[in-house]
Amino acid sequence: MAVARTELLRTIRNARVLILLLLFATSTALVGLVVGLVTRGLDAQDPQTAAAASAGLLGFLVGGDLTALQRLSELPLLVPFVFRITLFFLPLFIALLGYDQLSAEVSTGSVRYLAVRARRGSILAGKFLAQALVMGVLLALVLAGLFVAGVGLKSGLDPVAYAAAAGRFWLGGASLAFAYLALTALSSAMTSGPGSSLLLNVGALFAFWVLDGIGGRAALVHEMGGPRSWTEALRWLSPSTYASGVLGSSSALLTSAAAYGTFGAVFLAVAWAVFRARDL
Amino acid sequence: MRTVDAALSLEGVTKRYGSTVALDGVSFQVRPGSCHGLVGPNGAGKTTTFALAAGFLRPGSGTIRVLGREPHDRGPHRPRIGVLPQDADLPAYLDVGTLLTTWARLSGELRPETAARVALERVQLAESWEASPRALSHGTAKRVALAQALLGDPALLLLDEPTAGLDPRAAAEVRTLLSGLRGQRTVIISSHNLSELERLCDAVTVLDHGKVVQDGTLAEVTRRGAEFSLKVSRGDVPLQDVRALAGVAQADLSPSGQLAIRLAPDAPPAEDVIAAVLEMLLARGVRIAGLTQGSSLEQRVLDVTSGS
Repeated sequence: MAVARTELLRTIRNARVLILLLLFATSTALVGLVVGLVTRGLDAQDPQTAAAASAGLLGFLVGGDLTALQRLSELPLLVPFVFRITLFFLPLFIALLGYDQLSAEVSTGSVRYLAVRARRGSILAGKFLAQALVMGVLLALVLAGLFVAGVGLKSGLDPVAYAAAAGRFWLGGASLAFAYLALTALSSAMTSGPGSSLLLNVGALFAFWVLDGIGGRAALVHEMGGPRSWTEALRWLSPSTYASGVLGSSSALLTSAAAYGTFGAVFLAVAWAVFRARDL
Repeated sequence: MRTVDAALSLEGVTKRYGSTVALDGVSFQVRPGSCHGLVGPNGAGKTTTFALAAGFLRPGSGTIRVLGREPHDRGPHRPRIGVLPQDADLPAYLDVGTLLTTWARLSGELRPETAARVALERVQLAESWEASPRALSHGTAKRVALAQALLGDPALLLLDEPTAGLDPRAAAEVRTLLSGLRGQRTVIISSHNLSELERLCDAVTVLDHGKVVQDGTLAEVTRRGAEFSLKVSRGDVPLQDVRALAGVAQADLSPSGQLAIRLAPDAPPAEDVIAAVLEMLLARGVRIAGLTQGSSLEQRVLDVTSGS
């Protein structure tokens, strides 16, 4: 816990991190403002008209998941749209936030002051926990802002269902963040400098995005009557594929959470193995 | 000097960085409670040896035991070691007091803040408690790093260049501190300041190109019991008569008046031979300006290393 506390202090006292947090909050607010302006008119219409109009837009987020469509249509459109955009940029934000958690300390040698006293697994876990705590709180703040902003955009909201939706969003976002935080920890554990760590992390994000794109395209071709291709399966190897499930029905959310949990656990296990065996 | 229960033991240790061999079959032991010097030219493998002993690096082959345990063991029975790493920056994101308190907590101190303050006072830096590591001079940062090495009551201290970069007064204070640790715990020091090591250490290991080229007590390495020299200021030295004295294997007089005497393997104690030689010389009217037992550590290191 001492490592986690120190890492937390490092994170919240780091000017770069504070600027990033501010940028993230500001950009989310700006996107929220734009989306809010666009969707305000839609939300203000009578429930039937609004539901019909928003169903088309929400289809972009959850595809043919009718349960999810029904649930999301009960929310102000601003909330799922902005949250989905937030989720898209979250992996990159996580990389920028934590790429130097270990690599910077390895490059300056300061990790040796910790490594002489603590297990390497504890160092890794402490730093990961601190980053996870920051992300968990940030997600909660972003969602709180979104849901509070949404209150004024749609009438007749059920407070209990509205709060439950916020909780579901947080859980989904947190599970996604868990996987990408673990990827960032892995990148940082494998490298000996902050630059190479960031490069590796962003490279991995790009590779996952490409895998998702290739697999998704092959699946689309197949759905439209084309031949089945082995490349369709590639998307399941990418965490990006599971992002839509975060806003989906309960079963889709659970599937996504389980997938992100698995990705996170694998990334952390590899990070631990690498960091434990490497020279510092 | 070799004992079964060594504070540090290396047996056939090899470490490579890519194609570069940093250590090549290094074996030596450090006696518990001793002050042991690790010397050699740049690139000899001293820092690598420290890093291996501290568990920062993994050996390619060979065995290392620190206080009888694996060097990277950080479990409940981990070896209690304190390390002053070379060229490791202090983390810049916390003040000195918070850093030391955190490290004291990780070192198992029951009162981490008190332990941190005591450690900082031992290096004469109590006033730096709230300072940012960024604001510290190189010498002050080195002393803070030394303070962290003292946390957790370590049984073994690994100090890599503890006085490098310090001004003469600070270096003297650190030497006094290290002298005070002698006998209380095992201290292993790497330094290019060989006269400093001569004052502090009981034993030395000389490394060169990743290999041990000399290892033993300071007396063994500097051959204190095997040779001595006299600075002759006036008079004719009866060289043949000196050579004929019991225990003298060889005696040579340099043009500058340095009388170098090497003792025979079966010679009486060096002090007895010195007394006999002095008695003879003084009786013949020779005046002596100085006496040196053995070679200086610096001379021995120069003799046994390649100097590259």
